[in-house]
Amino acid sequence: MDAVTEERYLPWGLLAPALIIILLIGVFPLFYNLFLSMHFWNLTRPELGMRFIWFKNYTSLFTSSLFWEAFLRTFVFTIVAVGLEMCLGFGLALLFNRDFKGKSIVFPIILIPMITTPIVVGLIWRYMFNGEFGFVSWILQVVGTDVHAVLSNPATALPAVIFVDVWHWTPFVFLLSLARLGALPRSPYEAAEIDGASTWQIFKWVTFPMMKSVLLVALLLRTMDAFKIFDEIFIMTQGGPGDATEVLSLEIYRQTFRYFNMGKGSALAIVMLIVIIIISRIYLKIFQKEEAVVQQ
Amino acid sequence: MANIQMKKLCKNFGNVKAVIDLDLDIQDKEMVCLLGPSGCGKTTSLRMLAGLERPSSGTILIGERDVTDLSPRDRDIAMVFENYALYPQMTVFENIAFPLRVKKLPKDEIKKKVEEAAEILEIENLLDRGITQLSGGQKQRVAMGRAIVRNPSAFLMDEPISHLDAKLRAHMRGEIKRLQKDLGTTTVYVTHDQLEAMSMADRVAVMNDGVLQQLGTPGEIFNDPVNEFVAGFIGDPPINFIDGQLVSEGGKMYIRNDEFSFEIPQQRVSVLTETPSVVFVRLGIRPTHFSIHNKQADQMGIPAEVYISEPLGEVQIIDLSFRDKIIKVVTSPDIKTEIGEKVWLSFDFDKANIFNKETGMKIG
Repeated sequence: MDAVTEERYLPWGLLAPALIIILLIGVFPLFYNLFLSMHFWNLTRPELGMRFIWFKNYTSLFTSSLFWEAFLRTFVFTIVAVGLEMCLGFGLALLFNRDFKGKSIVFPIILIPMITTPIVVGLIWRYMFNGEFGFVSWILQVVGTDVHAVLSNPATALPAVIFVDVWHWTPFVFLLSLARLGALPRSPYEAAEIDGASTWQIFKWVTFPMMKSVLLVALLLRTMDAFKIFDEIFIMTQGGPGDATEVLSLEIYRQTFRYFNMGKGSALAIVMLIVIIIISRIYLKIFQKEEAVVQQ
Repeated sequence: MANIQMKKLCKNFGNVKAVIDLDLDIQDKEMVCLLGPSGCGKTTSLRMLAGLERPSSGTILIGERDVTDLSPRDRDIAMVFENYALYPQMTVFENIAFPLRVKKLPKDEIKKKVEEAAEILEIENLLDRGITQLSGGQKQRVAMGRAIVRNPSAFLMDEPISHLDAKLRAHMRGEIKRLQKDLGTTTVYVTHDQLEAMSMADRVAVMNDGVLQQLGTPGEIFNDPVNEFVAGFIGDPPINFIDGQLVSEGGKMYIRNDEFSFEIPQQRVSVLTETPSVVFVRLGIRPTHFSIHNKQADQMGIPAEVYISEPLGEVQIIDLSFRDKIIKVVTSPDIKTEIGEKVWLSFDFDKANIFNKETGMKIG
């Protein structure tokens, strides 16, 4: 092999293993999913086989009230959970950015939920919310409320899973924010103090603008993740009671692995992917705009 | 506008004494430079004045008002930082407007004042730019703009031009000095660069190891240093120190060592006799106060050997080896010497300083 040929093919040779893996576990499933979403294929009716039906799976989704309810529920879950996580996480980070007694003990405790797997989180809270022996239910009884089995009550089940998600992921926002806060330059604060700014003005005009980029990253990651929530809800309520906590990913699971309606499940997954892409594009646009102001 | 007083100001960081009993009285409209090497306590002193560090003891008065325990925002001062400390997410306009915005002044008034400041500093065309797009010199001007826009009672400047290149630094020295004179604002300027201090200050405060060594006009500091540290710190090339012994003989006084013997002029003898216990002394002679001769005249002179000459165009610096030391002499570029050539040095005794070798203090 001459030098020119080697130079031409060597990079491809080096990249090939990674490319093949990406094609197999990333690109192929995506296109296969797209392919399935345009087919009728029900595993419980093998005699009907696999039929190409264009966009019928999609049209049946968009005309189904169940889909729109799950879609809306996912949005409510994402907005409320991520909103609370952002506020609490950033707030805690501001608190931890100064020294106080016992900080080194409290700090690792706050991080525990984040390093716990979602399945375990789901299990912990399923028992905590249990109507007969759950700690939360006991507290609710002690304070004299009617609600005992939080997860069995359609009115309280969604707030309860939102609460668990907030408990689970607030430390993530907290950690990202705290890392950035600790790395902020000290001098603009000193300059602002000398310029006569109050604590609130310093937060509004100095801290928050410098934190915006990291908060946007946290917001993007958490939104994408919350929109796909599955494990915790699956363990705690399986989407119930009724469909009170039925979010999009549970609907995908139900269509695909309960009803074995592969085409419809795939169409749902594609819709979810598109929504997540749109959300992340919007965030990235905002992020780029912020960066452009700094770089101007 | 205000005068500033620091009385018995001390600052300790744990066991480290950063500033020790600093007494400084700065007049209204005066520009005082705190000068010294790294770690001498000059920046700590300035930060205490700004309220960014709490003094361990002592008092600070700005315009007769005791500000020792006041927060920075209540001191009515403006500060220019070494790294400029601009607000990175704001434009130039917003940076300069910041001190006015926090005071909640009307928008049109803020605009007018910012534009005035920008005009003085010649940065009107940069007002809409982001901070990251500015050069070091431009950032420095924006930082100055933010300081002057609010018309404070004092400016505090912490090595504001140390990050600029040599040419721009020379230019900004003049600019800042002129600006200070035009505005008439009392200014405390911290620097480790003696050239900056000497060229800009009305008075220079030389510090070392947390202690104020000398406060005086640039002329006083240069010609009449109180101790060896001040003498050695000021001047480039630095002052030359030559050890000797005070000897009294036949009603006259001499400074002698194995190589030379100089008779001390009568007018200085009286000063020296005030400290009769001192025997070992150190002569401090500026490089410009030497003359080079190729033969010994009147049994006087310091014998030396040419080590190297450095022609600088207008002048030349000749390095001469004397004992195991190098003596630097600034002479006319017309004097030609060869490496290894034996020469004799004489100097103007009226301009030489005599220090106590043991204490380092000037004795005559």
